[in-house]
Amino acid sequence: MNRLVEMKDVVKKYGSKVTVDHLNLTIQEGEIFGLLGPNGAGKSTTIHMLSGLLKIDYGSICLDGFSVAERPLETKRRIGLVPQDLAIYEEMSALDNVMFFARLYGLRGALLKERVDEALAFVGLQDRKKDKPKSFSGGMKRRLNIACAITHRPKLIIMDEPTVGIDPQSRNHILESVRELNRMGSTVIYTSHYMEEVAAISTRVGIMDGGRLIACGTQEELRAKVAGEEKLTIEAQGIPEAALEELRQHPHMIRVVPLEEGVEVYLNSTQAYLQDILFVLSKHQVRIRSLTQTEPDLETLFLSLTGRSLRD
Amino acid sequence: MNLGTIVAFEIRRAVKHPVYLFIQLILPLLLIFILGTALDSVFTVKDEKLETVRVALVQQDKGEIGAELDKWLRLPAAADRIRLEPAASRSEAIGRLRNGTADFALVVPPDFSASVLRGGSAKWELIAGGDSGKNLAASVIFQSMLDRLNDRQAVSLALGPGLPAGQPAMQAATPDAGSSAGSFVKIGQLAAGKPYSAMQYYAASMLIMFLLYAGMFTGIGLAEEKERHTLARLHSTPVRPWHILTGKLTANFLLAVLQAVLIIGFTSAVMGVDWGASIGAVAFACLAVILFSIGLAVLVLSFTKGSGPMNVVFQLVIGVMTFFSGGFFQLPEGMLSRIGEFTVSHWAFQSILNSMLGRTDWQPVAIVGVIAAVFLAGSFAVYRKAGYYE
Repeated sequence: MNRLVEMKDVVKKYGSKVTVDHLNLTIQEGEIFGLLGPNGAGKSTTIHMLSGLLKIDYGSICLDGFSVAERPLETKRRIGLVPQDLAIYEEMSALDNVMFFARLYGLRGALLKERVDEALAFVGLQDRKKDKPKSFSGGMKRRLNIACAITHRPKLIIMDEPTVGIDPQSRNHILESVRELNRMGSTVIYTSHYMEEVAAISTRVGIMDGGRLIACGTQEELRAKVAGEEKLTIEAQGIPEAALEELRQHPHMIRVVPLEEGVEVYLNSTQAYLQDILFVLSKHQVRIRSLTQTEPDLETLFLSLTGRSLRD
Repeated sequence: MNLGTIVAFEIRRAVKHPVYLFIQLILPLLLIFILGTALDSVFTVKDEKLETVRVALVQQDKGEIGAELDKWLRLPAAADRIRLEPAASRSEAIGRLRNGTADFALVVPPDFSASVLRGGSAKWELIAGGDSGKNLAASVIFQSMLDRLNDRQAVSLALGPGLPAGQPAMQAATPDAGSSAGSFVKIGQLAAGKPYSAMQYYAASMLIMFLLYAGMFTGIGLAEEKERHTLARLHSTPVRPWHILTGKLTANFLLAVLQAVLIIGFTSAVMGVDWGASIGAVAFACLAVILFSIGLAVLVLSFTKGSGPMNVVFQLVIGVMTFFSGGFFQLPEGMLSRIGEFTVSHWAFQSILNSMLGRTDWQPVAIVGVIAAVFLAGSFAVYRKAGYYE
């Protein structure tokens, strides 16, 4: 596979605050690359630098062999950006919106019409193409937001948190669209702070925090980094602090994460120490509703690397 | 190619906006029609011949100045305008005013000369009749005479005893003695040259005012694109950044030109507004106002964030400039109209009015052009801040 995106030592600062801190990242052609991180991790800034919307303070970004800083028009032609915020003209019809952006990518004549119809059909808005987005639901607007970015069949589609604030049905539709676009030949960068979404569609994942890429690899590779951990989720009401403190004192305890209604405990082996855990909880008269043992996931990895949850 | 795409899209967006169409096309025509029709009589100027005013004179002063006054009132310069008809008393004078044998009355008190010679102020009583025109003419004559007498009195008092107070004062007050004008009444022609109608006046002022709104819509449009994130999306497409801004400004410029053509054409064809023979000056003034307003929009956008501040700034600027340029109503000569000379509206307005009045004066046209050029140059200097995403 060819390297489509190459970021070398990229830095972005706002005043004295470093938003992206010496980022090195390579994305291969044909990948669905999930960029995961909490809000403020530097995902959107990275995406904006790649799209040519923000200047790179230090380092370089190349797309398909072209420098983003030196050949912006060449790189922009190869990108379809689905921005985090809806960026559509509410007073113009869906068709007008898609057609306008398609024209800016150089499409004309019969090809323009064909690609616009294709894009609208792809996002399921063919029947509503003459309607104005102000009459659309949030999910439909999100889909139109996607249609505006794919008419020119870009090599790289960047989706910056495309599922923010929409219903589960539209979310599933968008996730399925991402897979379909990838099958059709586009490389996709998908940023989100929803671990489940990234885990569901990505072939490779990068995790950002504080402007730095703290982990990168396939999901299997990332899980292997926390292979020594098992997570036990205990659903219960009102676990007293004394019980949590006693759990933390267990010699094989890695981490204790209190939840709103329960607690997550991370151990080398949950089975081996399950009795100890139950003993502590019953001693403090905690009524347990359920116990779930899970394999380590991206959330576990993030927690392990940063000590914080993705949703913090 | 992409520049054309952006221009065409912007124009389509604007014409699909009913509020934009109403404000930029319907509202100016409505205002021109309403103001032009309602205020027509205010703008109608016609000359009226001054008739001789019959003045009932109650001369109770037997002193030196009273005698001088009698002499002065019988001078030919005064006699052309007033005909004196002596009355024995104030009540007789009022009676004459009532029965129509006199148009105006002047009562000179018995101590008039004594008061003036003592250094007091000269005071007499003027009694108006039923004809406001004649009242005005007589009041002006007597009041100006009295003013001169008081002025002279003040000079005499200031310069000391070397100049006798009363007598020279009256002599100086007579038109033959000190004035080169020869008469206290200067006959002028109000309707000198070609007058303009209220419809013409408001067609010109509303055209300028609404062309200034073109800039406001440009600025608001750009600010809203920033707020709605479409500007960022446009910058992610393979379009040169200056094409994006230029495309949007060009579209608004073309819309404003179309607006000017429609307003001038409609008012000319339907409302009978005569825009004059200097259509080149009118066109240049319109183009300069549009460019000024677009330049101002770019400048304001560089220093404000969001469409709200843009709206406030523009409404204020347009309102103030239109007021001081006399766009809402004619301003009297003085401080207010002098402030107006610092506005682009004033010079554009004068350019158009000159054309309407058939005058050839290129100074206002040149000034409005210079103002537009300055603002346009300023907008070029800062346009990166206005139209760029980062």
